[in-house]
Amino acid sequence: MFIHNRLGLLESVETLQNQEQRLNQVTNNLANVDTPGFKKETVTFDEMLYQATRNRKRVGKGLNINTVHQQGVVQKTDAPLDLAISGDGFFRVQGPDGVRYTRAGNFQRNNEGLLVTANGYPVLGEAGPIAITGKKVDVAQDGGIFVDGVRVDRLAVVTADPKGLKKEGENLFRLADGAAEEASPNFRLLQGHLEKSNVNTVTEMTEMIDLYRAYEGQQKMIRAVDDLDDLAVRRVGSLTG
Amino acid sequence: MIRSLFSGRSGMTGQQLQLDTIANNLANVNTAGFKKSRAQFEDLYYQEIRAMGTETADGGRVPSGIQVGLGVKPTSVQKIFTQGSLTETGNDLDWAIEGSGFFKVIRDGQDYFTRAGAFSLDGDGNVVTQNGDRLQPEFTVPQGTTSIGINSNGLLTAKDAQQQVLGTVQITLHSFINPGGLRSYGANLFQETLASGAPTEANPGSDGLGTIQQRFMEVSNVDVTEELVNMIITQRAYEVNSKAVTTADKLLEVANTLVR
Repeated sequence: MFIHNRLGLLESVETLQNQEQRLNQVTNNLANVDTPGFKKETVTFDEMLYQATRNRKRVGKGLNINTVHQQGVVQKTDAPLDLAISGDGFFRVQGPDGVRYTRAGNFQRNNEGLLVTANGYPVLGEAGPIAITGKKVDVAQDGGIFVDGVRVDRLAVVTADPKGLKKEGENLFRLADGAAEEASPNFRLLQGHLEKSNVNTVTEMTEMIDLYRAYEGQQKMIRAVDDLDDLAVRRVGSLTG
Repeated sequence: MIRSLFSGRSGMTGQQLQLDTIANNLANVNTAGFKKSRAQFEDLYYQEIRAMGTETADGGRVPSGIQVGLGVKPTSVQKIFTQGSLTETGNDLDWAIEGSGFFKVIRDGQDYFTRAGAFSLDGDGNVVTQNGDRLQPEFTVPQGTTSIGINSNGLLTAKDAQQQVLGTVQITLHSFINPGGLRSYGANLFQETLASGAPTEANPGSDGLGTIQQRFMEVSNVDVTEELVNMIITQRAYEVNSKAVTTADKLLEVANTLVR
């Protein structure tokens, strides 16, 4: 067999797999269309050199998945412990395995009066977990927390290099090895508001049509290569033609 | 491929829960003291195919890696304890709480808490809820009472036709550090849980508690417009998730026709 035939097949199969991966990503985005603070993922491809044979290289596709840290729509909810970050930054949360980061500001108070996430992890202020023991809670735009008019702490809002943030599920991000957090220079906190998911259904549906057609096209490619092979097997060397 | 079938399904299941919550809110749009609920979601765990930051063959670092999310899961259906609006009823035993706090009632020997202040008298003259659960502290209206008054600080006074005071009692309210953690029991009642914390008792108007408005009723805090908009969003979200499942199915079909 000639190398170019096999290569065509190989590349088609790779593309099929990549399109499947793209569908997985789109579906996950769509499933989280109502998850507060959710950041969507996009799939991009870049050219990569692969070793084709011992002394030949070929150009193939490398799959890249990037989290898009674009601001989601901020919705008014009127619940006093719903906090939305407008601008850059994440809330710091004390997870069971260390500090985690989230944009999902649907907080509550637990039975001890600590400000916690929907999963019960304490939200961290500059002085650690925030205890709210009074009746009325006001959160200033700079993150200052006032309980019955008395300032008790300030919410820690931090940023990190987006490439160094890893999704962990439960609306949490964690820092990848080597990444560091820093105080966010540019944010505003909105009390009684919730940041929704930044997934745009129209974009995702278009992606889905596009990937479906790409998948179909590659299937045709595989068929074409197969037809060539078929001809080669039946016709080459045949005396009658 | 199989992943997107399941993450699409998780999205559809989540939206069903959302719709259940909305439907229950809408069903209780006229229930006194009802507090709306809100379904909340979080992303499921991520499967790591290529870790970010790992070293590549030529010594560089993989900048963004490949993580595939596995869908969505509901975290909680949270009660939103915002104030419902007050409507005047003219009934002496309709008491609305303006502000935070709950009345305590006893049913089958257990403590329950409610904001539905539409009380009545039972055959023995006890102040009870519409289901016959006695308000705490218990008060039996004396014989000959013609009017019952309660001031904004919860002092209940029973008077006869000559405006003579026949009996008084101080009605108290109860507050929780995390009212969102109360268990909804049905019948407008809430139950204390470990998450809500223990109730603290105080007189209305003190200690940050609300005041009592006699002859008013607190209506449900459900906003019909908001719920209907949420219902549209839910329906569309359900639809797009089902489309994702269909697309996954179509890809499988295309793959199946590869072999002739």
